[in-house]
Amino acid sequence: MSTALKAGGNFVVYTGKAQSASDAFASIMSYLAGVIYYWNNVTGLYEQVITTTLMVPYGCYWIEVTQDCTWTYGPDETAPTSVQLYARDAGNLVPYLGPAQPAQDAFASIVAYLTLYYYFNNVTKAWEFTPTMVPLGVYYVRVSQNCVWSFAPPVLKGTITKKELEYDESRAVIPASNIPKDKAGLVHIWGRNDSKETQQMGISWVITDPDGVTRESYSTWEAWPYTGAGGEHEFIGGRFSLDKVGTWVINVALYMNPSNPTIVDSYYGTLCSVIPAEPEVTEFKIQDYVKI
Amino acid sequence: MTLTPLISSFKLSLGGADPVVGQQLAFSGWYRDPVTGQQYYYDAVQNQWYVYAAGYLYALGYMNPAPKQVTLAPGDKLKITLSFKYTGPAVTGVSSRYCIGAYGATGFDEKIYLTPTFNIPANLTATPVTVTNETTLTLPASPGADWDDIYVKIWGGTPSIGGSELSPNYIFGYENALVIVGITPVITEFKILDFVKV
Repeated sequence: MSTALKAGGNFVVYTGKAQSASDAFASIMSYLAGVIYYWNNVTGLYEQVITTTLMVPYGCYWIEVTQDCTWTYGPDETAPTSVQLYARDAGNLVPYLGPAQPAQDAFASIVAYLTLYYYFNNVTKAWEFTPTMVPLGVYYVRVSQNCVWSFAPPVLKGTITKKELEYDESRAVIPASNIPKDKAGLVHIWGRNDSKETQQMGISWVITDPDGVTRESYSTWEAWPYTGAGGEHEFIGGRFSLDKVGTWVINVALYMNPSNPTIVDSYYGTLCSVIPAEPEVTEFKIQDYVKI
Repeated sequence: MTLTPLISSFKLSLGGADPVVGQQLAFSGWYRDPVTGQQYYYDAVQNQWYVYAAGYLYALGYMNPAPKQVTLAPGDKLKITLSFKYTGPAVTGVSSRYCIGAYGATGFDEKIYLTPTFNIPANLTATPVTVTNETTLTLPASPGADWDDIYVKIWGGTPSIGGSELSPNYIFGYENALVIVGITPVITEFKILDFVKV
């Protein structure tokens, strides 16, 4: 495996096997300038690399070279699927080992704890905020508590745990029955995050009246902070008039992953049955009259 | 017929034009036929015209041609069954009025009537169900020959189905529904049936 280095200082991820630094750097020995440092993310300290130092696969290294060159160091080690992050003022310097993707997706597993991140650009020699992640880039990451940053795509799992219809001062579990006509309806839906990581959940629903007319179309994504593993979020729609007698229908979908929305649970069925609140007489007539 | 509003504002609301019985108006109110003096009431909510007679309001257009004629003699009993479609909560104590009489230009001249009450069971679905109620009226010993019309009306109850005895929302009648017989001697086909030596 090889890594392109730019003249000057570079923060790079070493993807090779555990081997001595002298062997690992043999291909660029003549271009090295200054001291090589390895960032020990457990201690939060830089460690000087000498010829006998054992290289750490997928460690972050600071390397200065006199000219642009290609660092070749043999076969790659198998990449880890996650890295440990520590909540500390110094932050973390860690490799990003996932695909090129929006940062919100890349940080999905630690979105509840992430407070700051930067990517080191070896060309500009600067820490930059990048909305799209750079594979094998070195990232400075600060988190609010110790956590594991997983690079594996999260398994999105969620459940619609509760559905309620509010009408005026009352509430009923959906599907609700015998709701008096002409009440003002308001739907409450609770979604639970069954994933292992924090997720931003979204909801959409369409309510149709007994004539099949759409009466409410609602969708939204929950705002920060998102819902941690096992947590629930309540979505509340807008008010609509239950002004027709009969069966009202709701079609609900619970989503995760805003950049590529995925339905994790859904409900299609009766919202409620609306009954007449007042007597309604029609077709009044004399049905028959007979001599007895 | 063209009517004169009893309150001028009604006329103003109509842009100066006089209403015609049967016309749909924006406001409820009393009207008078300037030719006959007959008073009418219009209920804008129900879009229903009523004619006023002898202290009662009779909905215009509530009488219908009878689908059949039932022959009755003095002392005979007539069972009348009303029906309607219903949705809503249970209603108790609905008032009804079943009448036999003579319908004419001044309204329905009631000769025999009963005013039973009845209950309506709840129907809390969107599909109306048919409700029926029946009452039996008995002709007296000397009925009039023109007692050939019938009508029924319902109102009130708890909760109320609306209307009142004088201004019901639900009223229905048949003209020429009855043939009254046996009142006066009637001889027809008078002749010598036979003549023989005895």
